[in-house]
Amino acid sequence: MPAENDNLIPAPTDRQPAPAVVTASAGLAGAAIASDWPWLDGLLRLLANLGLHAQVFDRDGRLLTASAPPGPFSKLLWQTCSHRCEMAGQVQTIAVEQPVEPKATCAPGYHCEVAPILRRRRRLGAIIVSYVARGLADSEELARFCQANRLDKTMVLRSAAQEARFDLSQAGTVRQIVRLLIDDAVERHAAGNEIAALSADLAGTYEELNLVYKIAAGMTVTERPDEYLRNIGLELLDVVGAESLALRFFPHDQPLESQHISLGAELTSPTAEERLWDELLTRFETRTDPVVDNLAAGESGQFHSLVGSRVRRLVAVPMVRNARLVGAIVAMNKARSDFDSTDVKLIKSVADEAAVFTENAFLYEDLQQLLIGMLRALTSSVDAKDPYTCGHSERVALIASRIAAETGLDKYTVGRIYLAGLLHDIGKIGVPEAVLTKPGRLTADEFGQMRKHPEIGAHILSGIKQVEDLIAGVLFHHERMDGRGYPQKLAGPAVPLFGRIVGLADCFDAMTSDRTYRRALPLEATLAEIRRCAGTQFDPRIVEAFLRLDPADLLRQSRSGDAVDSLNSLVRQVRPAAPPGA
Amino acid sequence: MGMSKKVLVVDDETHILQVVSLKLRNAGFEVVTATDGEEALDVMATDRPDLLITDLQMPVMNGVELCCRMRDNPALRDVPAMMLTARGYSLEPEDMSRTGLRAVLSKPFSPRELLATVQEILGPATDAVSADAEVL
Repeated sequence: MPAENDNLIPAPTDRQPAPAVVTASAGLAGAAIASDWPWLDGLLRLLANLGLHAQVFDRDGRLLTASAPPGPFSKLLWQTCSHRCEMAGQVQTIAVEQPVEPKATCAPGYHCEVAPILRRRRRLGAIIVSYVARGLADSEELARFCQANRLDKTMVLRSAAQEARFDLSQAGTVRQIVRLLIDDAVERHAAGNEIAALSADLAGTYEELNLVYKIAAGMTVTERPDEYLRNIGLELLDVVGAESLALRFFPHDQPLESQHISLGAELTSPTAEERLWDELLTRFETRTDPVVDNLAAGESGQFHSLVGSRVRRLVAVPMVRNARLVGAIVAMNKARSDFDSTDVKLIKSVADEAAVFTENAFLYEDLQQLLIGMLRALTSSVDAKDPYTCGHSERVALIASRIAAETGLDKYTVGRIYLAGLLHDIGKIGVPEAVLTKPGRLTADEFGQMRKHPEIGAHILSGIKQVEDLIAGVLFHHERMDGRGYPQKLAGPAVPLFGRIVGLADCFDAMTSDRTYRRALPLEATLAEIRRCAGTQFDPRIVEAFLRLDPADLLRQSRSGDAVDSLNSLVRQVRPAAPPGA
Repeated sequence: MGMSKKVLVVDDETHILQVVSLKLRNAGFEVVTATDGEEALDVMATDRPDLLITDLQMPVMNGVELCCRMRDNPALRDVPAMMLTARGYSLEPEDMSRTGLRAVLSKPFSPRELLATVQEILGPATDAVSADAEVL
């Protein structure tokens, strides 16, 4: 069979992948594909266990790697240079031509299968598996082959018998198994990669979700919109891994509340940053899609020219509220990589969330101010009835809130106690002026009228949802720890905290004020009286906190003009839990 | 290469297993997973982890019980444990002390934070690499 002979002993000059090339590339390419095709080792081991010798070729027909020959016969053949040439030659053609039609044999009794390595219908390369079939008999062909390759025929026959595992009739099955195994290895690896990519996405989403949760939770604990914005800026800086981050917020109807926050490294000069902001905001007025400039990736970002060479990567996201630009977030330079879509998405979620919250926060603050203004107007109408008690409510509010803060209550509660103090005597609106301003002792009946003011106050406030929690301070500020107070004669722990604190503040201010029927007591006498009544009239713990406060200073402060200013700042801090869904 | 430290992750939600596994494997840890407490105990019986990360609410056996059962086994008593809980769910102080938890993270957790916590408990992902192993 002359044709087959030609195949067996090709002239080395005919085909380019000469043995030297094959061996040289095997080592190098072997290392290279270990990372590209990490599944290959496992597959080759599997094939070797089946008694199949495998050689792996890339799509250009270059031998990349080969498994160790599984038996003596394969070893003999593998050492025969012409056999390897033959292999390479076969693949050279199969790699470019489709479909693959492998030559059945390349040595007597030796069977080859060429199986393509496919992924998404693309040919990545091919694997040739070869094995010796059972029943190799002495023949003229074998003799010729042995002679041509300088092999000992007896040894060839013996090693073939030793290695053979399949009949030639099983070739189809072997081919199927091999292809299935290759496809499985490739697909499994690809599926693994896809899962890894999905998991990475998912991890990114988790990161985002976590941040948004944190930010949402931050709404209830941060006291001021600017601090809130600063905190989310810091979170973003950390999560995105940017070197620098700047945030600007300008609610359209409150231009005075505009915020600018810069965090992280200073990468640009203030003038350059100002130019950048001008450009960005101009752009965002017309287009609200994020700006991503990764200069390192060779993109020519239009914003880089504005900020100098230290900024290599930049991402900017607008804050949009009701189709109106209300701010923007700019992150600059990421530690190791470019800004990617995950970063942009994350900054965008934060920007949206922050825009909603911050605007609501400002609106809420407006409402608070309105409410407080109205409450103050109401109280001053009480104070106006009795010139001697002028400013009493404001002072009690201040003193009560200081005591509350000293006892370790949170800022929100402190603010509420302030309001309770402001309102504690509101019920005096319902007490006749003649009784309120009567000089000298009151009759029993007049006392009775006077003592109604906590209940009248509670009744006035009971209809207003926003101040319901303050009623305890109004209704119970004349209760005593020993149960001898009014209106309900509550005792000990039954007296609500608001009542205890406002009650002490009320007494302190009353004693240190001139009244229609007496002059103000000196501070020392007042303090002695308060100490004496700790445990009977007052809660000793509240008295303790009060005495820690430096009452002399408190007295001076409550009677200076600073009082109202400090109250304003206190009220600003009164930020309860954000309304649900904010 | 030195031996990677082994983390057993137990959660009935497979996406959690995926995210945690990915994050920890990328950082060089070996990760074994189980989808409920029984399975986790089976795994631990033959394959002692260096750290247990478990969900709190799971079918068959919850995270607290899993930790307690682990503590009952002398061979596993010293395995540090951390727990993932649904947000808003907090552990009773008594549960904290009897489980000996090193950390509790609420879901959705930050994967970066999770990794940082694991590294805080376990140190680097692999033990020191010996010189001749490096040559290979």
